[in-house]
Amino acid sequence: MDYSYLKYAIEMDAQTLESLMRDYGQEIWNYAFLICRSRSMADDIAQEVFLKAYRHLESFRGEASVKTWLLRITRNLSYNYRNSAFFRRTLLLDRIIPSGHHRSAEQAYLDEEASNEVWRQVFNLPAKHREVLLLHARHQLPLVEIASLLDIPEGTVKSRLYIARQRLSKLLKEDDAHEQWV
Amino acid sequence: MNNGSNPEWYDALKLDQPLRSRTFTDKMAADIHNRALGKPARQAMSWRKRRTLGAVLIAAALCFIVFFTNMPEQSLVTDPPSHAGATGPELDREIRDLLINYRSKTGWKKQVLLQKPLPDNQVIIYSVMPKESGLKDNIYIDILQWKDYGGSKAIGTGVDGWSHMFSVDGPYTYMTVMDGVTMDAVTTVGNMHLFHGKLAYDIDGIRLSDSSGNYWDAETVQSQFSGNYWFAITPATSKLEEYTVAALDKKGKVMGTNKYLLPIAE
Repeated sequence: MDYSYLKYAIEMDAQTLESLMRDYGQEIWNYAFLICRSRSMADDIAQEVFLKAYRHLESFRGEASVKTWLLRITRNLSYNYRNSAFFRRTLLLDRIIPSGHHRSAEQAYLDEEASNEVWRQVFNLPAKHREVLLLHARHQLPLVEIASLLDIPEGTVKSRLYIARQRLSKLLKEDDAHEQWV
Repeated sequence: MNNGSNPEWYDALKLDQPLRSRTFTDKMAADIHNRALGKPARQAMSWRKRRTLGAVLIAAALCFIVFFTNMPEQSLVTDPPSHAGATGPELDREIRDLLINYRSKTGWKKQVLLQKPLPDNQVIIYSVMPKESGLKDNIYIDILQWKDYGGSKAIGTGVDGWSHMFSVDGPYTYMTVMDGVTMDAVTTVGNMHLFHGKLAYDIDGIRLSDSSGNYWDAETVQSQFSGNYWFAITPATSKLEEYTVAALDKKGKVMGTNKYLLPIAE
């Protein structure tokens, strides 16, 4: 659906909200989960994103697409969550306590739920590499738009993307070698 | 479709969702819909909550008044009064931008020149429109305040607890104080006088002083496209106030002064 008319609108109507959730709901949830690696937080963030979009349509100026606008709100909220004390108490605890041979609850969930081996390995990359891959490979955003979204220079996007690809290729090769050995 | 320059595994990311299950569920969408279109939380607030909220706001206002009326007289005040008192949680950029651009009909996003914390969980933001907007020489002053509604984050007009307390904008109707220094009409908000103006490039600072010998050094900020600005905040303590505006050079030496009688509306 073409949402370009929204830049002229003063308020968002219920039909548009529903349409936005139908078109982008899952992608917004995915992006939040990719940054936070927490289902409960991705649930909260996805809800907040659409509420903010609905209540603050004036922040959409039509310079980028509606999808990029939603992704920007998602990113800001996700990093707010990541930086919050609540995140540190709950999520990091989940990561720290099950050290050694135990898998964290989220890691177990990912191992079960990742749709393919490539995505499974994406979640093992650092957050900044995960998100640049998601935006470039999944959302097909041009580098300049990714740079604007992440608020970093285009050159930094290129170098992050390069490193992310290298790392992921290496992880996939290692995984492949391991499976052959097994 | 892989364009050839991307690794072969790129298509797996493009074509498949990260997870097998659909996690943005119909129930979640229905909840969002209900929250967005449901009865506003403010109306749904119980009388008891409203009473508590009223008490909190009155207490905050009293603290603000007490702070300024009990402010000790100082002969040297290098910082504006804004540095004293409680400040709210850090204001994130997205929320700030949402609030200061709220109701903006121009379509342009303001460029923030200066952001300073004030007492009582407030923050003052000075901004201008970008050159492309054609609205040069407009200074916008916004004051946002953090409001804690006792855990009920949905209640209130702001985003994440921040709400708009004050906003002023308009053409820059300046007066020339002296060569190279202009000053816009002084704005009084609560117990503060807000001074601001523009500076020629060879002037490095502005110092305001009153007849009691108190003085305040202005903050100077270089705009990306419209020269240097100066900003100062003084406490509003009497109905008739005379200030001396002094222009300073790089070493703090006074280059020139002029007196300014502040007209206070009754």
